[in-house]
Amino acid sequence: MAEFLVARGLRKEFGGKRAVDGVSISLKPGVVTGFLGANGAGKTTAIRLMLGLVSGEGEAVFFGRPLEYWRNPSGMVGAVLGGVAGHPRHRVRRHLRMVAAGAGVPDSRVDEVLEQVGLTEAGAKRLSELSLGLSQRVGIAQALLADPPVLILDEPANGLDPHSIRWLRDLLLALAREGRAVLVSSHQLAELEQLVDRVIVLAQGKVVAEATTAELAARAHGRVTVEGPHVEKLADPLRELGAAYEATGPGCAVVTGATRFQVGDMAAEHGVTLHWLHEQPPSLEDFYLSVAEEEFRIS
Amino acid sequence: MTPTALPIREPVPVGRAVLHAVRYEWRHLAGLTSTWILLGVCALLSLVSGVTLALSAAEGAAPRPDTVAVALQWDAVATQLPLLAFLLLPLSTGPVATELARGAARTSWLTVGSRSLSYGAKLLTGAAVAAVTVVAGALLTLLAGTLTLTLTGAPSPDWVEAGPPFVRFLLFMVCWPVVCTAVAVLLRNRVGTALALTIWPLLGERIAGMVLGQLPGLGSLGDWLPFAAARAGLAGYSEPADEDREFLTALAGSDLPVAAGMAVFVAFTLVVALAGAYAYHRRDAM
Repeated sequence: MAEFLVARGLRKEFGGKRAVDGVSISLKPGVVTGFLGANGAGKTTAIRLMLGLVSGEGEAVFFGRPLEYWRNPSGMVGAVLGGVAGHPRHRVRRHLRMVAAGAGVPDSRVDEVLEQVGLTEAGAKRLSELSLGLSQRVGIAQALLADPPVLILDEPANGLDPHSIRWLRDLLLALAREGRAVLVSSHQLAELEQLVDRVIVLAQGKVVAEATTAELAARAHGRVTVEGPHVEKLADPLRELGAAYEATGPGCAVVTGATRFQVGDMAAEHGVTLHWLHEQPPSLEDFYLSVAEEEFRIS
Repeated sequence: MTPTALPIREPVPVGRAVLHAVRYEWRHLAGLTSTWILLGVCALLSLVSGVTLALSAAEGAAPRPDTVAVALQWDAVATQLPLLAFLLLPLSTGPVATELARGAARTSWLTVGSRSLSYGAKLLTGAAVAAVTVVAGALLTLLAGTLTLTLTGAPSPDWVEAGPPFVRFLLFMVCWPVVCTAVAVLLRNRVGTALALTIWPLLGERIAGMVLGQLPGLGSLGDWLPFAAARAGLAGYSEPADEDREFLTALAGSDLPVAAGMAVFVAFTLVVALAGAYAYHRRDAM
């Protein structure tokens, strides 16, 4: 599958401190990639480097060529970077018509994208009058104007209510299924979990992990919750198996490092009655916390 | 569901990319009410200028060619910097200020072809708006003047004789937004740019000229200061009498010949535009 965007060796320093250190990313069509990292991990700077908005080292190519080569960046990549950025006195519709003119798309497209993001009524508002959530939606409308094959969204759920977040997730999934390559950075891991096909974790400016969601599921053991009157009898046998047993209350424990089948079999083998046995699959958050543990400690 | 790869597009031809970028910049200006207010004020002042030009003529006589030239130049030499330049200053500095101070650079740079195109389009759009304003203003002045003269029964002047000074003014006004935009990029501050471009031509160059005049061997450098040179280029509507020549030279601040004066200002514009281009390329978007 050809890569729509390939970024290699992105580096950027601020005041002698490496904000982004050798980040390489590729985006494939039809795939939603999650870009994870704590505050200050370098996600936003990496995205801006990819888009050529800040100067730094490394290169980013769209369809094998630098963005400037196409002379139509908005037709190549739609970017949502913290809401819409424009003159505060511009009205939404006029702002989008300005962008449409720059992108070489007809004005009729403006009403189409406004309808797509549910902002037909807000078209007459000035940019300065927009709430954070509306500003994000206008930013998304702007990104979609020229129908680009690559979408990059930096914390797009900021300021959105739960209903809008669900709408955004459905929209991005639909756009990806149409064959677009989508990169979404976010702290809202639970939201990404239901959206992304692949995750890239950034810590202290470096890519520390990269995996598809299928690989994640195969890589990590889940957490098994067990309840029963004598579950403590399972502690030693489970530890011998290499799993971790942690009592969380009377007759209640959490086991990691073993599947629910192994725990159930072991309970039967030792004659331990179980009232509850539940395996929670590894979450994106578990994965993120495990690979970014060091960064969290520092921050 | 198997994803379908979207068709890969072709690079946009340079000419079309320039057109898109210019349309983007024009729509930035056209989307603001303040733009239309300023242009309306320019139109109104042009009409008033035509009426006063006609009324200031001696009774029963056509306005003198140099008076017509002064009116079409918005009295640029006497006022040191024409009022039209002040009126167009916000239109030239606004787009850059919005980009660099309000974070809209990312919208521009991710919409039009490149930073070079974005910067070039700002210069082109500013110059085009200035050119259209100057020409439309002159037509309004001509219309109002002719109408007033007809109503008062006075003969019309030879408008064509004011052509060369008007063309030089047009050249000055086309350069002006280029200078404004470039200085706004360099200073990254709209107020600072407005102050610099007001104080320097009106006061800074006078002081610099006086200081240079005190330095042995450098006295003639004052003639080459850009706005003084531009005023020298704008003057010369007619062959002045000797006593007037000295006054006009003092008013302009330079005694360069007309063509040399304009050439100095155009060269200054190019240098500032190149410095602005360099700075624009080095800026980061917020």
